[in-house]
Amino acid sequence: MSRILFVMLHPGFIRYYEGAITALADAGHHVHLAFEISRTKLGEDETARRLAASSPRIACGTTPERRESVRDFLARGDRLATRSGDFDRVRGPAAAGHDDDREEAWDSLATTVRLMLDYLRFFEPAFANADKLRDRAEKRLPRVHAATTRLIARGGAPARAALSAALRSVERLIPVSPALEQFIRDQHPDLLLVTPLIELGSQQVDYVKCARTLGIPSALCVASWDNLTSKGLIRLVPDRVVVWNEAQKAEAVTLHGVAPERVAMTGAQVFDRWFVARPTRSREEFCRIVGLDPARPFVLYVGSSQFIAPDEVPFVERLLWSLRSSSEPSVANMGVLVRPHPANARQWRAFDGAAFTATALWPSIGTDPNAPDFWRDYYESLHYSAAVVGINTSALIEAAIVGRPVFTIRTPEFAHAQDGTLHFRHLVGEGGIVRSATSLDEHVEQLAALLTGAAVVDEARRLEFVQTFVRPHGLDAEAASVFVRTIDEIARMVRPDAKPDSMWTRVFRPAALPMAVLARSLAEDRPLWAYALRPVVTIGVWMTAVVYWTRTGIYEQVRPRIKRARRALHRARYETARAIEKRWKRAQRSAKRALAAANSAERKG
Amino acid sequence: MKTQAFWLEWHHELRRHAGDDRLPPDLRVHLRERAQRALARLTSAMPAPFPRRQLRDAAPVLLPPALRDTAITAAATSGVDLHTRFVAFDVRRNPAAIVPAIDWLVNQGHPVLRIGASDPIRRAGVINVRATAHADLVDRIVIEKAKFVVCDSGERQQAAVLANTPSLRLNAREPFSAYPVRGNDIFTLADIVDLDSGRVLLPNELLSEPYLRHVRNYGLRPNRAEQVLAAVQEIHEGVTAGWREDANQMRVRERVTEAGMSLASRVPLVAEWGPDEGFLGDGRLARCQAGQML
Repeated sequence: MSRILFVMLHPGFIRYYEGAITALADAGHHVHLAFEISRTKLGEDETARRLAASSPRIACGTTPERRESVRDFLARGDRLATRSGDFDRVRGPAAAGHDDDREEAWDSLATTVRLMLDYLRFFEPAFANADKLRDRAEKRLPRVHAATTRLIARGGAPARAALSAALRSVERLIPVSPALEQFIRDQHPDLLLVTPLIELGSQQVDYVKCARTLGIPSALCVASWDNLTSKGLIRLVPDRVVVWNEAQKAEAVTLHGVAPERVAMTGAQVFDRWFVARPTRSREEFCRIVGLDPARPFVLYVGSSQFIAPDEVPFVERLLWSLRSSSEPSVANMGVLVRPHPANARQWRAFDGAAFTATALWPSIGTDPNAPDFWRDYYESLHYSAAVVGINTSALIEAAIVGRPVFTIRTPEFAHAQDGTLHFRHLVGEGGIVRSATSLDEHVEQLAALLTGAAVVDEARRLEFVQTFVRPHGLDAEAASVFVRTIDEIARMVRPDAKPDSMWTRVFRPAALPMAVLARSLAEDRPLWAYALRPVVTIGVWMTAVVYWTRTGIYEQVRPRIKRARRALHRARYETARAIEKRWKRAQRSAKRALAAANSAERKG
Repeated sequence: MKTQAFWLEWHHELRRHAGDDRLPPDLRVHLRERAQRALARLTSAMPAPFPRRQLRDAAPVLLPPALRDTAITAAATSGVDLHTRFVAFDVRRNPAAIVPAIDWLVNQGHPVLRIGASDPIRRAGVINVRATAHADLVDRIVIEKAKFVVCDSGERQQAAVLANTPSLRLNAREPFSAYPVRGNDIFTLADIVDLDSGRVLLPNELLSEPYLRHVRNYGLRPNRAEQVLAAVQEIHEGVTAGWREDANQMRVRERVTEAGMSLASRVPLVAEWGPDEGFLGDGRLARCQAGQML
């Protein structure tokens, strides 16, 4: 069976593929999960450990460390940071001969080029309303690059195409780190999988590049339903792109330029659990645990992520007030269960649930997503609810799978996350399952119609949505099994020929090195006058250094020599004086002896 | 700002060289010290203080006649009768908490005009102003003509101060930026929640340096219905029967002023919004909260 190297940005991506990875291992494949960065916020590292312990065919580890990760790149561009003491990171071109510096410069150039490409895509007509997504991409770029990209992008489609082509050419010149290539050789996989690849500025492109160089088949596993429209580009198309459904296939083809025959459709393996889940507690017991009246129906409000709903609490306060003010008693008295998004739960600590009747916030903030009952609690929250409401989140799809009516409210404060994103259209557009209201009043009317039975739940439409969007191979076809079959087919396909760098790439690469050094310098995102000032400061510092060295030289070299010479002179003088004194004394003694001898001879004579 | 940018860049450049191990160690130490000094200059460059003394006796800034006519026409088109003794409301947080106060005002014979982009409140005596044209001008003229304004944003509070319309600011995050300059304004503080622990800060902690340095890291729990009602009753009493200040309110002003004087050199928010040469404002914290603050 095959050896599969699955490169993930961080262990948080396991949750999208946990069932599929286990199924791959059960089918006899050896899966090595390699994480580029660690993540512990929601117990992701624990998930990785648990998965690795579940099968001897699953292993977890890290990828080789980068000289400069995207995170480092962004940290370096933080103008307000007051910590940049690491000169190695910002050393000038003079020192670029060093291997590490060169590698870091290439990393800087790669991140710059990729971030520019990602920013550029949001000027395409499809993203005309996606101001917030465009702003998010812009914020990652050093300002000089953002301004240049914006200027060119506004020049129309030909200008964008030209800039994109130029950036892709530069991307081809960027070499892959030898450590990374060695890592893949050491793993000697039959297949390389990467996810998500489309993060803004993602360095996972290098793995695809490396696989291509070594002749290893590669595939991108698209983790979630917003990935192809709200993030970056697939800059280098792997041999296969594994998506959920037809809608994502269309996005891969039209927005990322992937050839249709390279796209494989498996369904959403992350949602498999919802098709088999069954409640284990009665409704009464569940309501008692969460603190709601079991005699009344309740609506479940599902929180959204930080980007979608950074300030969700005030909206929910207004929503609750609208419900309580309804003239329809079934709505005014219904229970409301608020379920914060696990990654955006902090803000809910300021929510005063006690100020509203028949309202509960559950589970409590900080609940570990690895806790044994986490999914059971979530499933029963959906299962026992009369309806599910949210802004724009995967939980709305999960609610549709479980068979709940799903609602959203379009409000100006979340326009960036609703009509300002393309993936929201999957929910509310043609074929979508979410009933959308343009005001809280309209939403209350929709709920009243549902609870009084005036509105009919269109079960056929729900099933059609679930089949089209979640299980395109049939409602009974478990997506994880389809995923395993697909991966098996990719692993068995004829190994592509190794494609080492072309002659032109090797010829032009040295010429791109100054560009890389420049990219590293500009990544600091300092104002241009600071770059202009830099040579003057550098000269000043080095001239001061010369003064220091001269002074130190005088102190350390010349002074000891003078001291030694003086000591030698002193010693010579001393020695000479001693010698003269000795000779004098000797002469005196000789003279005395001669005189004594003469006197004695005289007395005898 | 430009000075701050210079010191920041200067700090970066010096630190950059201080980390160069090819330079003499003594010089690197010296560069590091200079970089720290630049950083100290950066942090000591505090924002200019809010001109509280000047605003105290400033003449009201009203709409010029041409715009005034346009605003009155637009307001009339939106169904607003500017000749009634109405109260303007622009509160975005928790409508449930303001409804009892609105009902009380309506019972006192004051229609309530809700301005801004808030969700409509459908109750007797409440007019939800939805101007299709010149919305800003309509809001402005409503603030000018209102008996008083109830709001929960600094922008609305300042607009009321400029028009010299009495105002009640609800749900303030801290007592400095919200402290009213004029004697016909009051404010209330929201409950501030530490988002890491869920703990509600004690009132005196709102005057502490750790909080005032990181105000945005904390959550806000809006005023409860009884607090809003008490504050609305207080401003109504002030406007109709004359202002009176109790001992607690005076002591709160003294405490906030003292805290402001001691923190202004260290905390940018206090430097900007704190006392202006010892003068914080003639306004006051609502009576219902003043006792708790002490």
